[in-house]
Amino acid sequence: MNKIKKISLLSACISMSISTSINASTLSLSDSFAAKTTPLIAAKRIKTNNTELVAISAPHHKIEKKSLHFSQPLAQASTLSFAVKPYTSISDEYWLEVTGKQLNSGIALAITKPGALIRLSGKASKNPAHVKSIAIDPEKIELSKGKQKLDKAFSQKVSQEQFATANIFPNSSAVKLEQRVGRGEFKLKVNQALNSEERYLVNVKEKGSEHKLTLSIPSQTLVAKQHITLDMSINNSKGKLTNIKHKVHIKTPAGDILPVNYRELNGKYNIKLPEMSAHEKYGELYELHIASQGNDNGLKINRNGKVAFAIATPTAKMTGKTVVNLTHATVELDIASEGRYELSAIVSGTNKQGKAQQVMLSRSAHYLQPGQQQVNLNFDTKLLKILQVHPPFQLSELRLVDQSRMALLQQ
Amino acid sequence: MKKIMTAIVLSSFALMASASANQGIAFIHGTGQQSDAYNDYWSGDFVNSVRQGLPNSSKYTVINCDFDQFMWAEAAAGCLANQLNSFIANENITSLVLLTHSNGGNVVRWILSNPTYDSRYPGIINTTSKVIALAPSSLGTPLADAATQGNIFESTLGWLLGYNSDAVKQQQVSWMAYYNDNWLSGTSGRPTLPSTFKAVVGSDVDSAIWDSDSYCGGYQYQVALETTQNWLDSCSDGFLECSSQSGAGTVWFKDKEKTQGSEPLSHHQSRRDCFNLDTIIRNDI
Repeated sequence: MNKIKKISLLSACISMSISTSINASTLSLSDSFAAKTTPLIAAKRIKTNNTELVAISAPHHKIEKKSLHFSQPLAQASTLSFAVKPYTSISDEYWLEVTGKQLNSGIALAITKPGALIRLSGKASKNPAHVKSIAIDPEKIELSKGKQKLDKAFSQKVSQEQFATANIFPNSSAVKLEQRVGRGEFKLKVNQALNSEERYLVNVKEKGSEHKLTLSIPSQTLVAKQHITLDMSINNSKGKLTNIKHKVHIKTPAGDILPVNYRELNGKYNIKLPEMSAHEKYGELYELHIASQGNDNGLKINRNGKVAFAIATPTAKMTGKTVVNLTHATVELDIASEGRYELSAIVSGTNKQGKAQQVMLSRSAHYLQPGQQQVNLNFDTKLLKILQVHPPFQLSELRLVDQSRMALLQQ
Repeated sequence: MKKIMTAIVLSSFALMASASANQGIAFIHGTGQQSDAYNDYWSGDFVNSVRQGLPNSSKYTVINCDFDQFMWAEAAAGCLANQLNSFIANENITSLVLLTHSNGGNVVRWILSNPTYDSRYPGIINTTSKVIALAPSSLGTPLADAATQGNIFESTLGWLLGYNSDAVKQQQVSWMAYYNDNWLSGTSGRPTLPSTFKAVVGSDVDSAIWDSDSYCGGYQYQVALETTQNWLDSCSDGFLECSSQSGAGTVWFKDKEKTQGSEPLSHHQSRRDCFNLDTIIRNDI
C-alpha cells in the first residue's frame, strides 16, 4: 500500500497569464523574439477545478528518468479530439456462478432468443486445498422445459478439448440450443458426477437477441468519490422496458468488490463512486458491473454488462502559468508526488496567409520531484521551418499526464 | 509544372533513399509468452518465405517476449524495445518493417504512440518505415470479456478462470476503448501514428470438414474459432471482429481481396503461409 499524504491546495480558476518566474534562457529567447515580431503569447485558458493533490510514494517499477521530447506534424485537416467522451456498452448475454451440486440437480435459465449458446466454465481456486473443477462433458448436459425433458435440444456441442485449441476458454464446454427449442424458462442439468464444492461460471450468450442491456458512463477517466450519472436500460425492438431492476458494483484492479448505491432520477441513475486509493497495478482499470433483471410480456430477461474506467490520482497539476516562446513553452506545475510527467499540446503557428494554423503535436516528459516546477514543452524547430509557419506560436489541448502511474491529470 | 517537377524530385529522392536503406524485418508475435516464436508461434515456412522480400534476406529477427503482460510492461514493450534496438544496432538497420500478429500490434502501437515514455522508443520510431499488422486486436475482442467474466477475487476463496493474463484483460472491449482514447495513437480522432500501420483483416472461418482450405494451419483450430464466432459479429476471424482489426491505422486489405482463391483467413491462419499470405507480404516489403 502506498503511503498517502494529502495536500490541500487553494482552488484556482486560472486565467491566461504570463509567467514571472521563467528562467534566464527563456527570457533571452523571448526578448529577441519580441523585438522581431509581437509580444509573448500565453497559452489559452486552462480549466482547473478545486484540486486536492495527493502525495504518494515514488513508483516502484522501472521508470525512465531522462527528459524526452517528441513532435509530430499534424495533417492540415486534422480531426484530433481530446474531449472527454462517454462510453456505452451493449450486452446480449448474462452469467451466473453455480456449484457442481447445483448443476447436478439442475439450474433455471431464462432464454430470450432461440439458438442461444450456453458456456460452462470450471473455475480454479487459488487455494491449493480446493479441488479443481472438472470440465463438463457436453454429452452429459440435459435440458428440460417445465417437466418435459427435451430430446435433441442442442445443434452444436463443443468440448473442453476443442475450446482449448483457441487458447481463450480453458476448462470450458458449450452447447448451442436448437432453434426449434424456442425461448422461455428452461432447466439445465449435468448428468456427470461433479464435486459439490466445484464452482462453475454459466454464460448465456444470446447473439442477435432483441433484448439488450445498454450501460453508458460519461467518461472513462474518473476520480474517487466523484458523482456520475449512468444510463442503464434494457431495450427490446420497440424501446426501453420499464420495471427493470439493476444491481451495481465496482470491481477494483485487485479484484475486490465495492458495493454501489444509486438514486434514480428521470430515468437516469446517479451514483457516487466510493473511496478508491492509488493502487500498485498502474494502468490497470476499474470496472463498473451491472446485473439487470426484467420482464417483457412474461418473458424473463437477465443481462450483465460492464464498463472499464480509470481512477486518476491527482499527483500534480498545472497552475495555469504558461509562457510560449520560439522554441518551447514553459509550463508551471505543482508536483505533489515524485514521478514522470508528460506535457503535450497542439502547436499553432502563423501561415503564409497570416492565419493561425495547427501544425504539430509536441510532447515533453520529465522525471520530477515534489514542489513547484517550471517545465519545458519543447517544439521541433526544424519541423516548424518545414511546415512553413512562423511566430507567434500558440498552444491548444494542453495536457498533463502522470506517466509513472498512467493517469491523465488535466486537459 | 513546378508541382510536377517537385513531385518527381521527391519521388526520386524517396526511391534513392529506399534503395540505399538497410532494410530489415521483425516478426512480432501476439498474446503469450514466447521463447521460440519462430517455431511455436509462426512457422519456419512463413518466416523464411516472407524474408525473401528483403534486399538481404538475412536481415530479420523473430521477437520472443512476454505478451501475457500489459502492453506497457517491461516484459512486453520493454522487452520488445530491447530486442528491436539490438537488431537495429547489430545489423545497421535504417529502415525497419514490423510484422505483427494480433496483440503484437498493440504492443507496437504502445511504443509508437508514447515516444516520451522510454528512451528506448524514439530510435525505434525513427527507424520504423511501416508496420504490417496481421489481424491486430486494435479495438479489443468480446472474447476477452467473456474469458474474464466472473473473475472476481473473493478474499477467502479466490476462484479464477484460467488464461486470466493481463494481456487478456487489456484486450477487453471497454479496456481497449480507454487505452485507445488516452494512451494509443492511430484510432479515429486520435493522433496519427508516426509510421504507416496497415492492417490485414481476417473476415471469416472455414471449418467444413470436406473443405481442404479448413486444414491450412491445422483443422482443430478452425473448429474452435468457428465456435467462438458466437460472441462476434458476422465479419470476424474467429477471435477478432473486422471492426477491431480495422480500428487503427489503415486497412491494407481484407483477406478475400488478395488471398489465393479468395479464401478467408482465420485468426490462426493469418500467421501461417496460407492462401499466399506469405507471398503477398513478401512482395510488399
